[in-house]
Amino acid sequence: MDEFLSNISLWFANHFPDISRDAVLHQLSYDAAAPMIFSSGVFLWLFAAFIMVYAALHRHTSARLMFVALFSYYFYYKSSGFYFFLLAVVTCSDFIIARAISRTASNAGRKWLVTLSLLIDLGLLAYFKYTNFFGHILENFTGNPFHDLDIFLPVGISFFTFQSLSYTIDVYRGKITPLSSLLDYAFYVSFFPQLVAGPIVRAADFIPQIRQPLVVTREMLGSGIWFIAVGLFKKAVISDYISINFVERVFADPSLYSGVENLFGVYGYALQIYCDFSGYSDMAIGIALLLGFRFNINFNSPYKSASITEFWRRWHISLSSWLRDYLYISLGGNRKGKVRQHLNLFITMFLGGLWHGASWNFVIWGSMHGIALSLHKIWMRLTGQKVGTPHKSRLTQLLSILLTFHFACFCWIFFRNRELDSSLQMISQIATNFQPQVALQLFAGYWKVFALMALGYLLHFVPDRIESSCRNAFVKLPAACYVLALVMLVWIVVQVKSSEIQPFIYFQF
Amino acid sequence: MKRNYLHTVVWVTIGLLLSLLLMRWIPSPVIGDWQARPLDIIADVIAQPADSTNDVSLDSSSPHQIKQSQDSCPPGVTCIMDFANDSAQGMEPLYRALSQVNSLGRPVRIAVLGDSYIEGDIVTAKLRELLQKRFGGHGAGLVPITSDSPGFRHTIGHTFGNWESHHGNDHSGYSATWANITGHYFTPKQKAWVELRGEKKFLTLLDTCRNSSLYFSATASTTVVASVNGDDPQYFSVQPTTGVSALSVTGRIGRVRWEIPAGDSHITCYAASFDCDRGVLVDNYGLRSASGYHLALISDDMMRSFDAVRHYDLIVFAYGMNVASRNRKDYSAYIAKIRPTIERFKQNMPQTGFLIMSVADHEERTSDGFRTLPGILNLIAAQRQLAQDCNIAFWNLYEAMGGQGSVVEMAKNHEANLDYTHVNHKGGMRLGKLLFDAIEWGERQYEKSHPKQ
Repeated sequence: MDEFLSNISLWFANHFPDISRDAVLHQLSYDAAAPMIFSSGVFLWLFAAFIMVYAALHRHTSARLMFVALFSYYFYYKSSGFYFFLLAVVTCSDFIIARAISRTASNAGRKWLVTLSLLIDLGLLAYFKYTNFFGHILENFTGNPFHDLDIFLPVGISFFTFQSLSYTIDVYRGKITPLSSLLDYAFYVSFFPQLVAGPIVRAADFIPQIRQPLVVTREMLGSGIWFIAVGLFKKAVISDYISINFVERVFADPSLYSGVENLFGVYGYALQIYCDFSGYSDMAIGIALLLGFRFNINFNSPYKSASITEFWRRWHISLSSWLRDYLYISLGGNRKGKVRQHLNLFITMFLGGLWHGASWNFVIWGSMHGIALSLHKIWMRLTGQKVGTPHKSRLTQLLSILLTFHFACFCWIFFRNRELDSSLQMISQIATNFQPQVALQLFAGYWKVFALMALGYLLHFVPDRIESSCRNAFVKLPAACYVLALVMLVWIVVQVKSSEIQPFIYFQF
Repeated sequence: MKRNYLHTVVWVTIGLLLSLLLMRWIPSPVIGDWQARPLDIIADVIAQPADSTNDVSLDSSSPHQIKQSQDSCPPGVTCIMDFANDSAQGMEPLYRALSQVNSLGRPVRIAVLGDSYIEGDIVTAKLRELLQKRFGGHGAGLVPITSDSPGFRHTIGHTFGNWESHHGNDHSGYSATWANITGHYFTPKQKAWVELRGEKKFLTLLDTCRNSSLYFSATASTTVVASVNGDDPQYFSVQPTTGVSALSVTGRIGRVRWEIPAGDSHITCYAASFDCDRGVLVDNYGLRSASGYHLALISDDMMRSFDAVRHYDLIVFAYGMNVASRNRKDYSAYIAKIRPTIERFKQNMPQTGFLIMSVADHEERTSDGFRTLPGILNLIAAQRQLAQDCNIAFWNLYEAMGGQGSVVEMAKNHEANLDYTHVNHKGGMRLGKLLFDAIEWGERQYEKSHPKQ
């Protein structure tokens, strides 16, 4: 018996390595170089521990809400260190302000209160995100030199401030009644699936779900895992691989590459940013479903759009609808005449561009979209064309999709290149140094990148009904198949994540 | 009431975790040459055994005689190791010229011959600027007539037209007759032209030059036209030459255009320059995909005639990246192929010093994260041995930039590209400064041991 036990312990000693306490603590602590993301290994471990407690508390609503809020704060700490206090500041101030708004009868008082909320939320955003940007603008005006301040940009601040603002503005507009429980509000603002990268979940959509009995239906279970798998594939396989092995290097030095390489670099980036952003949103939506919450869809195959207006109804829907409802409409929307409508549209997109980052390239990008949306509005008025209604002629529809896609790609050039010079260089290479003869060598040399790009675009353009059928079929699978599918996917992700880097190929042109 | 599948979520999560945990004990499949990366979800928390990497020894102490500087290398500087013997073709010609920079009557010249790592004046741009600030001089130096990516080089405005280009990597059509140290030659079509413009945006001392030359060989007489700052053209009647010749224009030059009006197969051009007449010039000869083999084609006559028209005090060989491979330990074949070329350079340019700059850090991604290709360390050791065997100088760029992990760190700081091999312009600035520090330190030691009378 002793011998048997010692054999067993020897087997364990040989097969189970020593777990380092320090390494575990390091994994659980904030690491600026490795913020928490859903596709990381540490998230899986934490989520496993989390879901067990979450399920155990499923009949104890307040305790469960408290537990989720604490976990969310920890999740935020893993992403931004001690800046999690900002979440608390935004949460408490907007909770108090919303309650004050509902108790204030006078319009002036209500207006003052909602302005206070705007000042606090946008003030935080302005300080942490835009101080250096505005400092340099002032420098240009005054001539006084401005030295960058060392300000940390807390992860997700653009998302949770907008999310919290939707609550105070909706209370001000009388669309929702304010919450009576700070815990519920803290739960809403900090809910970890959407906390750091969206979608921007509206208070009106989310708050009614908070104290509903916690039920995960069969459809929610299957769809949740489907969304997680699709999101993981988009982000950790397609986006990461084509980014590191091709797209980033073209954007790093556009002048080193022929026009054809630059063009495919832009097509690659269009896919990369879509897969990266929508993939993360998909994972957030999937995780929320597994926890019994429904988020609205955030990306709806945007490159299928036949007009730029339609594009913005399919791209980052939670942001574009937020900007429409809280900025465009607040500016007067289409209620103050045609000229103001176009100006409002432009301002909305200008600021929408700035929301993406404190840099002129984002402003240029937003402005280009603003102008295009304006022009398209005029076009629709002249032709009577309605957004989202396909053209009668298939050819016109196809050409419209191609045109919209290429316009979006053209704008991505300005979005991705920080310097205007690099954008112009890229456009110049495409326009004046195309070198089409390099294309075949390019496809052969980077065949893995192009195979993934082709797959990515193919999946993107799959008709909605086929996508729905696949999802429905997946939902019906037994739970063991979900595990199998996820294991296979994680294995693929690991192969891609640690795959050898495609060396640079210099084509002679 | 609907059935609640919350507990199934728990089971799926636990099932996934256990299955992934189990994968660590399942051997990774091998398909042909490809082996799957192991999947180990506890890899990050396993206690690591003490580091037992068996790096190739690259320490500075050599069992062989090294021409040591007087003082030991200061912190932050990776010193050049000079293996020169009595022929003094290591760093001495450069240090001697620098010590006489004001009385030399010509600029001190350095040529850096390399591959895509230095293409676009990367590394050399900052080295040139720092040397020119310290010892005087201005101008970007020599520029091959055409370039695949002229916009990538920020140190000179470079436009051209109507040339047929040949370079050392051409599988055919690169004639040994015209092979030269630039790695390129160009034949003019009708109205072939090249224009160089000073640059102000990128670095300093590049906006004007005092002297611009066109380097060429002619087998019959022809006419060449030069135009400075858009002024009236100057006509040169070129007679047949043996070897390399140069035509020059002087003045305060912000823009210079060289033109060969008649498409002429009797003239072969190599480069145009944007030079100073005093101080230091650094010429960059980056040739994509080059490993240095193409230099073997250069004839003794070509080497001598190039030396006669544009003498270098130091030639730096910055090759190796294109022969490095992951697990290759033995680079003796590469060394054997390169060594005779270096020896011929030494013989034909007896007043020139030579330096081998090692390959830089080149990392690969493995399931355990990034690591320097093991073969890189072997290659560096071989390059040092080559310098020692040829009695020239050696500088360990890999060590200077920080060794293992340095290019990954540079990529994080936007100083290197995501192939974890090539540095970009920003990274090149840092490396150029490191090479400058090494040269400056060596020069100071030379000054100490050769006090001026």
